[in-house]
This record gives sequence, structure tokens and C-alpha cells, in this order.
Amino acid sequence: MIDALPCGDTRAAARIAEIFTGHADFVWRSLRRLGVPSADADDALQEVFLVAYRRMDDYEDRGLMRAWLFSISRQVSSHYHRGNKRTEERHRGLVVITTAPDLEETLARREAERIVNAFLDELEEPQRMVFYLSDIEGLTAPEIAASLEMNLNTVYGRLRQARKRFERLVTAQAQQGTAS
Amino acid sequence: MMTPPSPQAQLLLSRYKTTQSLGEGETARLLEVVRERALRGDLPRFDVQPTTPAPVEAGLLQRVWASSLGKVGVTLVLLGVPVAGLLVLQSQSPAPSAPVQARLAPVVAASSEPATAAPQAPPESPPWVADTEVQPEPRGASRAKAERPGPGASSTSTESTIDEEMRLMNAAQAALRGNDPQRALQLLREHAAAFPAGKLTSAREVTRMLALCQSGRGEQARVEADRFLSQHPGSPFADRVKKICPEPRSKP
Repeated sequence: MIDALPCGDTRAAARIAEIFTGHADFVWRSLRRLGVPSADADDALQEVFLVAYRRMDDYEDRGLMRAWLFSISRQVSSHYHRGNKRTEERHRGLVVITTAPDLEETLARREAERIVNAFLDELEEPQRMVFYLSDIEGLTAPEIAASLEMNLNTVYGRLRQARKRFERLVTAQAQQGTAS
Repeated sequence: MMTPPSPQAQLLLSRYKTTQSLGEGETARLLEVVRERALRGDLPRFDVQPTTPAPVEAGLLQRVWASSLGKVGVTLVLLGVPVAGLLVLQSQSPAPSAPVQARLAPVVAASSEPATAAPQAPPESPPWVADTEVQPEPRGASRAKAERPGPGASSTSTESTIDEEMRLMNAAQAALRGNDPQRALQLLREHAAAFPAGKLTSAREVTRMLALCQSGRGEQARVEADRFLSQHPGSPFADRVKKICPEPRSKP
């Protein structure tokens, strides 16, 4: 039933364009976070939105668009070989850096990128995705619960642990900065 | 009750996010591809069965943050946008404060709070901006770039000063990217002479260290790095500066 939607449906295409505009970055980051190598990320991104286009009629708008897109992304990502995250993560993402306001901010962003990537890399999987969806993507706990098909309390528990670790890291970084 | 991330953590994460973006050009290109493929009737390559997520009650509080993300605003700077920033930012970007404010309410984890507890509007300014080490520009100054100065604008001199600072700094950075450290150093000297107490002095110093390093004067770069670190131990660039020209650096 993948082709439930007739091709050339301009209204659906307009709707998908709208969804794409609002969520492309989120989907792209999620795919990367789900292990899609940077070389395949564009391809996977198109795939996610093609599925979304085809499945639009199945989607009930209950304010969980991102959870829905994440669910598609998760399935799509399973068809790609996982990249070597440590080396891959840095390849992309410098696009915006070039438009950073000034050098100070640019450097601070690079530093943030390094720190957060390292943190995410070392976080265990149950916590990683919850932390990522919450504190980086800004999803609500209920959205995360829906995205990961997880109990709400579990989301809170994992988020709490991950945040605690992140705070420790941030404090350590700050101390390191002032110690030298 | 869940503790929200500390201001420092929020700042770090917000900055991180700005580095993880497709960028506008790429987004537009991919959108075109997707739209074309959709209209052409391309089928997805994989058989994906998305599940419609089951709703769990959502606190609107969190939605405030959520709604601001994933837009072009992501590229905007987080904290009061150093003046200079707006110069380079795309002209269609909204005033910086809006997305900044909007992302200040991370998942506060009101697990079972009713949606009616939602706040009406985000605060006027981010509560944690003042805690950051990067000094936000004065309100008037930061607006200066966002809007074209009208005939009645009174901040044109501030604006032109910032313009000039930015021009020099951008040129220096461009020279650095073009592997012309001598030119970069010269531009930085001009900047130092013209703006001894300018808005971008730290940026100048860091750029200078990079230029020195690139020109093979690593030793001097490290001396300046040490001086910078002793003068600005809490600078957000401290970590970066520590790593400038690291090779032969040996700790006593």
C-alpha cells in the first residue's frame, strides 16, 4: 500500500514541502544520529520525505509530526550501513559555521561541537537518543516517548541521568577553562 | 520534578545545534529534489511502515521551545547576537531575540502537568544570557545591523564602526582561509590600530594566533596564547586557544 497516494498530487506535494521546510534539519540530524553515514544522509533524507509523502494519509495530526518523522527516519536508517560516527560526525555541519557572526562565536561553536559530539559518543544508547531528542532537538517528553515508543517515566529517568552526566562535563570544562 | 539544563549547558547545546544543520542552500536544493520526485511518482526504495505515534499528554510549555527549532532561525546566534553577527546573517532572518527566547524552555519534564500550565509568552530576554561569557551587545547596537538605518536612525556611527571592524576581521579571516597569513596579520594590525578597544578584540587575538601559527611562527603564537589565557581564563575560546599550534608545546 505504499502508493496509496497518486503521483502528481500537487496538494500533497505542497504539504510535504511545508513539512520538509519545517523539519528537514531535524530529520537530517536524526538520520546522522541514527548512524546513517554522511555520504548517505542526503539520500536517506529524500527517502524519509518520500515515505512521508506516500503515507501522509495515514498520519493523524495530533501534534506529533516530529515523532512520526523520527519513526520513519529510524526505519529508513536501518537500511543504511552505520558509518564510523567518530570520524563522520565532523564532516558535515560546518555549513552554518561559515555564517557565524564572528570569529569568537565561530570558535565557540566549534568547541561546542567537539564537546557535545564527544559526549554523545560516550553516552550509552538508552540515554543518548533521549538526551539528543530532548536537549538538542527540543522535543517534549511525550513526543520522545512517542518517538522511541517508550514509557514516559522511562524517558524522564533516562533524561535525568544523561543531563546529570552532561552537567558534570560542563562543570569540568568550565573548571578546566579557569584552571589554566 | 526534572531540573532543566543549566544555562551553560543550554548555551553549549544551542551552539552545538547551529553546527549541525543542512544550511539554507542545501535545504532548498533537497526540497526541490524531494518535491520533484514526489510529483514524478517516485516510490521510496524501502518498505517502511511508519507507526502513527500514540499521543501522550504534552505540556505546552515544552512546545514553546520546540516550535522555534528546525527553522532558518537555527542559524541565528543565541545570545544577543554579537553585533557583528547580523552583518553576515541572511537578511531575512528575524530579530535574534525571538528564536533565542523560544529555545529557552527545554523539556522541563512536567510529566503529568496539565497543558493549561503553559506560559503565555517567553520572557523578554533569556534568563541565562547574562551568565554567559560572551557579552551580549547593547540592545541598540545589536539591532543596528538587523534593520537598515532609516533616515532618522541615530546609531549610524556605531553601526559604521562595527561595519568597519567586521570588514577588517572578515578580510583577515578570509586571508587566513586563503593561506595568506601575512596579509591576515597586516589586516589584524590595522584592526588593532583602528579599534584598540573594539568589539572584536578577543577575536582579533585568536585570529592573530592562528595567523602566526600558519606563518610558521608557532612559538610566538603560543606565547600570545599563554598571555591570552592568563588574561581571559574564562573566555569561551580558552579551550580553543589552548590548542593553537600544539605540536612542540611541552608542559613544564
